[in-house]
Amino acid sequence: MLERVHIGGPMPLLPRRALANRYHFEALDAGRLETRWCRGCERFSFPPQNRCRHCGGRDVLWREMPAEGVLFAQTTMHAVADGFRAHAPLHIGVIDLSCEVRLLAWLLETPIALDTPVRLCALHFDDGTLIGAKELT
Amino acid sequence: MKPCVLGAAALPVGSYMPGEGATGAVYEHERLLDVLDMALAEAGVAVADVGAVIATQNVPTTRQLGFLSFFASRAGIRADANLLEVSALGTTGATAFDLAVNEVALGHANVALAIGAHFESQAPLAEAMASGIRAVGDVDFQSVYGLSPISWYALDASRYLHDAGASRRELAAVAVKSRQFAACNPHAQMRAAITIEDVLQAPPIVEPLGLLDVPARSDGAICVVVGRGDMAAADAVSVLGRGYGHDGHHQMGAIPHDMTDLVAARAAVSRALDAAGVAQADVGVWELYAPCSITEVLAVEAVGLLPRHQAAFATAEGRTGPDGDVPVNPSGGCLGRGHPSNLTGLYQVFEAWQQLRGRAGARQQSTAHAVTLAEGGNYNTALAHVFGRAG
Ligand SMILES: [Zn+2]
Repeated sequence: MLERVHIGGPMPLLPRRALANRYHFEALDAGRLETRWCRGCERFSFPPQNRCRHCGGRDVLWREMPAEGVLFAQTTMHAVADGFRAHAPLHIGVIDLSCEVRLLAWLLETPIALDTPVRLCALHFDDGTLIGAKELT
Repeated sequence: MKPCVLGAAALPVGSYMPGEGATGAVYEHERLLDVLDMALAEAGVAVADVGAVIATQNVPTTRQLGFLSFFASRAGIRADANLLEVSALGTTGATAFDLAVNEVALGHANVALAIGAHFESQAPLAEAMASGIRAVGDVDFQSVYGLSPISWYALDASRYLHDAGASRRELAAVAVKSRQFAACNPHAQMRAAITIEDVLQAPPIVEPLGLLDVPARSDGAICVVVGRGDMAAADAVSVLGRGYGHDGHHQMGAIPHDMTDLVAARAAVSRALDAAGVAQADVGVWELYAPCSITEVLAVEAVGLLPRHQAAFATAEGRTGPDGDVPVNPSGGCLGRGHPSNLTGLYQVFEAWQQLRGRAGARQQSTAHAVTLAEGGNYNTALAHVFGRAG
């Protein structure tokens, strides 16, 4: 389970909970990082979709991804769009998971040196969840 | 014979957009009419000769949409080949040029215009950012984290500084030398000199980038006249080749890879040089699309002008500046000339044309070949053109 971190209030920008990805967002709300995994080539596709991004196969299952990775890049944004002001400055990291997936997360601690192992967590808003990360200790 | 640039004209990049409710203001179509007439006079052709017009699509803050049909009517243009507005992220301007060249090369038109007006300097910043974060990210999985267009370059910068062992001080040198070139360019927006300390002490915008590492807001208007090679003077500027590259990622992509290695840029330039039959060493003008200081460093390395992880240090040593051995972006680039984003690719062509016509004043490079390179996203797509003097 991902550690739950309460943020509260509305998400700055709501993702669309569509047929192909709704389960991912529901799982994230519940503290699990789920995406599509291909039975053909045994690789993860993230963001989740019904067609494997590696081999094009359609035989894909929901599967939990590891919640640990390393920090590849980061920025602190002082100039932000409307909706994000309440959370500025934004600390954003690019995180590489060991399962060949790269994703974004809000960094809960800064600075974190690049290549440092990080653990993902679930940032809970009133209407959804974003992925967060903190240094793995 | 390859198509030629018969002539070109542009507004100096600057701030032209009137505020909301302004009276007595000059709007983009009036500016563009002036530029059109200057360009046609330069090219020695008449409005009636124009067979195709490829325009950059206007930004959403433009009141007049359907702009090109409207503008052609005001200009008295009757296109018998094509009238097209194009939009392709940061390659928009270069794509307009590319398609204008095609109209001539395919025999559809004797004369084709690549044209555009970009007015957004007075648009509310929040409005611009709201559309920006949707354009440069997966709206459900990336935009929701708040990344703006320039923040992707900031992510690149953090990784590059880490891998190269460089610091913000070396990146700052890009901004400083961009202003040095811009001081010699009457079409440049940011012509005042700045120092490394100015860049380092400017407010942080998207760390590690500060206010002077990122582009200001810019307006512009430009027209490039492309024509059949046999219509051109003996010393006209020919379009010798083009090349395209695409890395398959949207911004940072979805799988781990080195996103500071701009493979699309390398492929586009390499293919363009091959198509042109020109060796890289014979190119003396490089106009590389680089909205931020880091972006120029990465582009310079990607196209092979300097070794990997060396360009920031080389810039700090002055090697890419006015007195350097590898001058880059003699127009001043996005940080000096300015960055009316949809038009930047066309302003790059304008610089190449001026340089090869020997009209670049104090920033004149002595060369027979120029390369322009535009990009979309985080250099996920890249479009390059190679120019040379005909004859
Ligand atoms: Zn597969």
